Amino acid sequence: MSNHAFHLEEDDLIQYALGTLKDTQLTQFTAHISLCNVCRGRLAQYRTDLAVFGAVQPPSSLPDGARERFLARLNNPAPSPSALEKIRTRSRAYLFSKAFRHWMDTPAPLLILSGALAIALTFVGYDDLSHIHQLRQMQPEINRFERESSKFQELEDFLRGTNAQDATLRRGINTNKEPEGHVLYSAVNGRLVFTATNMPGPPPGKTYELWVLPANGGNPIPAGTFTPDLQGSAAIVFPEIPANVQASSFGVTVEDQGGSNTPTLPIYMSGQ
Amino acid sequence: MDDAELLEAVARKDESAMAALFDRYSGLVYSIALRVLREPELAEDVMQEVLLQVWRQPGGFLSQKGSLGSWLAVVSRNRAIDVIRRRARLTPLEEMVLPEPRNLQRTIEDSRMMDRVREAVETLPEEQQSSLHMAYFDGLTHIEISERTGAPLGTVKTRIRSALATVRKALQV
Ligand SMILES: [Zn+2]
Repeated sequence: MSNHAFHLEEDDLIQYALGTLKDTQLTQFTAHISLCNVCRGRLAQYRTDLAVFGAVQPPSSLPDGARERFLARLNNPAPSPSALEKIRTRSRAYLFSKAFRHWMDTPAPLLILSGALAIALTFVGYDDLSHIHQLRQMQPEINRFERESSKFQELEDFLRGTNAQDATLRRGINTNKEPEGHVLYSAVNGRLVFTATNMPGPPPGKTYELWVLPANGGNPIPAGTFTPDLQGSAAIVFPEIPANVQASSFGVTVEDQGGSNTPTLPIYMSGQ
Repeated sequence: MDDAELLEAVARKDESAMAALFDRYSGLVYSIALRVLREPELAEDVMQEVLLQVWRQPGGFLSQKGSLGSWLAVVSRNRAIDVIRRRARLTPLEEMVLPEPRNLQRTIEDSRMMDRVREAVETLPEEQQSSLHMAYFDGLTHIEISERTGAPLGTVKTRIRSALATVRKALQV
C-alpha cells in the first residue's frame, strides 16, 4: 500500500538488505516494512541486487581434499565437530540471554509487530529452508490482509494507539523459553491482535484457540485458532469478534482441528 | 544437466548429482565465505554446511529454479557473517527476520546476463567497490565504513547506492 506518510530512505533499505542495521532501527524499520508493500518491493529489489553481486564474485580454489571431505559427509549424519561448531557452542548461552533482553526492552506495540512479522513476511532468513513450507501455509491469511489494504491501515493505527487493552498470557514462571502470548484488544470496536512465542506444536489433529472472557461473566468468545510455526511463533490478527465486549481476561486452549465454540479445559495459558 | 535437473536428482539422493553441484558451486560458496572469514578452515566449514543443506533439503532450493548461484551466495555470505557476529557477540543474521526473496526467482537464467553483471561489478570505480565490499563481506554499517575510511557518511552512502544501481542496471538491460 502506498498511503504512508513516509517511506524508508534508500540507504536504510540497503542496510536492511545487508543486515547491518542496529537493533533499534531494525525493529522500527521492520514495523514499517511489514505494513508497506512499496518498501517491501524496494527491499526485495535490493536483496536481488546484492544476491547477484555475491553470485558474480570470482570463485576461489578449494583447499586440498575439500571435495573428498565434503563427499564423505553426504552419508554421515553426525558431522565431526568443526571449528564452526565450537564457536556456536561457545556463544549459545549469550545469544539466549540477548534475545531475552531484547524482548524485555522492546515496547509492546513493536513486540506485536515483530511477532506478526514472522507471518507477514513469510520468510525467516534466506537460508532457513526448513521453515519455508510451514510458513507458506500461513500465506493465505496474509494475502487476505494485503488485498484488504484498508485493514492494513487500520492495523497500523491500532498498533500505534494507546487505548487498547494490553494483556500478556503466560504459562507458569516466565523464562524466555516458556510459551508466552500477547494480546492487544480494543473492546469498542472488537479489534484484537494476538502474538505468541515459544509455543510447542499442538498434538496431532489439534489446534490452539484463543478466547476472550467477557467481564460480564458471559460465555467465552472464540477469537481464532492458530498453529505455531517451527520456531514456535504464531499470530492472530483481527479475528471476528463482536464489538463492545469488555474483557476480564484472555485464554488459550487446545481444541480439535477447526476450533470449537466452547473452550475445552484445561486452559493452556491465560492472562488479563 | 541444468541446476533444476541436478536438484531433482539430489532429491533422489543421487550422490553423483550432488558431486556435480559441488563442482559447480563450491568455488563460489567457498570464495565468499573466505572473503568474509579470512580463514580457510572456517570458510571450508561454512561451504560444507551450505552445500550439505542442499543435499539434505533440495526441495527448498528447487523452487528457486534458475537462481541457485545467487541463492547460495546469499546463504554463504550470511552464514559466514554470522560466524563473525557470534564471535563478536552481535545479533546474528539468522535471527533477523527477512522477507521472502521472491524476486530472486526472476533473476538470471542465462549466463550472458551474469556476464554483464560481472563486467559491471569489475569495472566499478575503486572507491565504490571497496565501500560495497566492506558492507557485503565485512558486514560493516555505513557509519563504520565512514569511520574506517575517513570518508564522510554521505559519501559512503552515495558510493554504495551507486554501486548497487550499476548492478541493477546491468540486470535490467
Ligand atoms: Zn514504505
